[in-house]
Amino acid sequence: MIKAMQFVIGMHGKSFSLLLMGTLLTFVLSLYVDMSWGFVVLILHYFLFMDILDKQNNNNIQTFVFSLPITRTMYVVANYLFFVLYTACFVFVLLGVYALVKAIIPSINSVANMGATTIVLGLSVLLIFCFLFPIYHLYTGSGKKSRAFVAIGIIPIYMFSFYGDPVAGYVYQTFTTGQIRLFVFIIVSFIGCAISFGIAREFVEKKNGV
Amino acid sequence: MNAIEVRDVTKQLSHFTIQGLNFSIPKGYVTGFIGQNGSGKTTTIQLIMDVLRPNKGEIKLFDAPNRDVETKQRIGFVYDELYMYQHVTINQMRSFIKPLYDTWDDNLFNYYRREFNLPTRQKIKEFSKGMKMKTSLLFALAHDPELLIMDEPTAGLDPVFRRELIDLFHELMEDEKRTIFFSTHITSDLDRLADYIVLIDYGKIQLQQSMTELEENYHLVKGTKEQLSAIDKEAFLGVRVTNQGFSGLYQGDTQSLLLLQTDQPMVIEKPSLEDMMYLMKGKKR
Repeated sequence: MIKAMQFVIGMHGKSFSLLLMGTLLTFVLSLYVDMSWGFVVLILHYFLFMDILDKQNNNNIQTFVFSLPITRTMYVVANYLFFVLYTACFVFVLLGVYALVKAIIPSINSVANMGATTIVLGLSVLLIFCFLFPIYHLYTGSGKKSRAFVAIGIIPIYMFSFYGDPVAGYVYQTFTTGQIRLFVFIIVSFIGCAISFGIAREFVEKKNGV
Repeated sequence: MNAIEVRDVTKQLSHFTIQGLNFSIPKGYVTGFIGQNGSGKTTTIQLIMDVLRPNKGEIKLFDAPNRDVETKQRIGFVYDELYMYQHVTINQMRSFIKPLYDTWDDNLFNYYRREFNLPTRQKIKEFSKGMKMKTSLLFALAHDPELLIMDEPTAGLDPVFRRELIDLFHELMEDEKRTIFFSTHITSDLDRLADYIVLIDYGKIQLQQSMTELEENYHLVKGTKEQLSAIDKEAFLGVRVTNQGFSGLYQGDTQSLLLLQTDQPMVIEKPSLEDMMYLMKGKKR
């Protein structure tokens, strides 16, 4: 499993380091300019996930991966573990940077419920991955179909980010304003992740890697 | 022990079907896999490599299922195109492939990288087709595999490097522990290298024999149409008739053909692999 993780980190590590950097820049910028950074972060992740998965398809990476000494299940597990790790990094780095910036420049804008907001956004990022990963593995080699599903997927993200209730603002913020709602969101996210893993594992085990 | 055993394998794809595929590749030899375009060579190789999974049948490598991680450790693979990330350098690529192989040898990697003259700082996407093929070979050889499976490794290479590659394969075979199985359209490469030949046509194995057996048992017979009418066409594995006469692939003793009472003797030659592919095309066995 460690070997599989090393392989997946090697495959995705660079792209996701850049993604995390982009997220951080967006966040730090939002401390100076009042902007909906949560929405930007979600969209940024959505398109970069698509780009990463597209690169895999275009280079026939599955043909390569399935030929390597790694089982398909191991490959899927390693991918999901990687994304859980990424989500954890996302949450801790963002909170760390926020604390640091606040300590250095106390006059900057404060983010309400920063801890809960970061957790909700981190889990939303994980859910985007959980949505895209099985779709790309179901429709490899058939770009139009996967793109159609991916395009549909953007609607909930848009709604999730923009059409909140009038009191709490953005939808994602509704989950950050109450402990029970936050807890439910965390549980639902992990259930979603487990379902996505089961589906992805099934697809990858059966798929032809061309 | 056989290096590869394919037993009753059936695979249905949207555009193509392989049915009841049966063959085995002996350990310690070079086996050439030939057939025309669309005959099922790549599909068969992808089935062996577990990239495609059969609907029926089983594939074993060194007596173990081809899905085994331990078995895959012993295989080096080269496909007709470089299926790797192209936006990285070969050193970056090495960093994440290396941990997967217990027998990975950095000295071997560096040796072949120098031999193939591959740059370490250039991104793979900037490589020429020949360089990409060399990159594929580099990663296939760097863990010192016992079995090398290659799909058209010499395609797109210039004649000089093709010859060098054949020499390299000869070197690899010197210790007699290794097995090479590769598909190619360039049958002259096989004349130089192969010990065994497997011929596939329309998803079915038409022939599997050693080069010695092929040389001894198969004959290319050429003659006039009149001469052909005097022989039972079924005696040939394949016949092509033109305005000038006929050419046919004959298996077995040619004495009976020489005894035929015709105006002029028929020409009997050793067939090339290309002749055999051409004459056996579409032959039902």
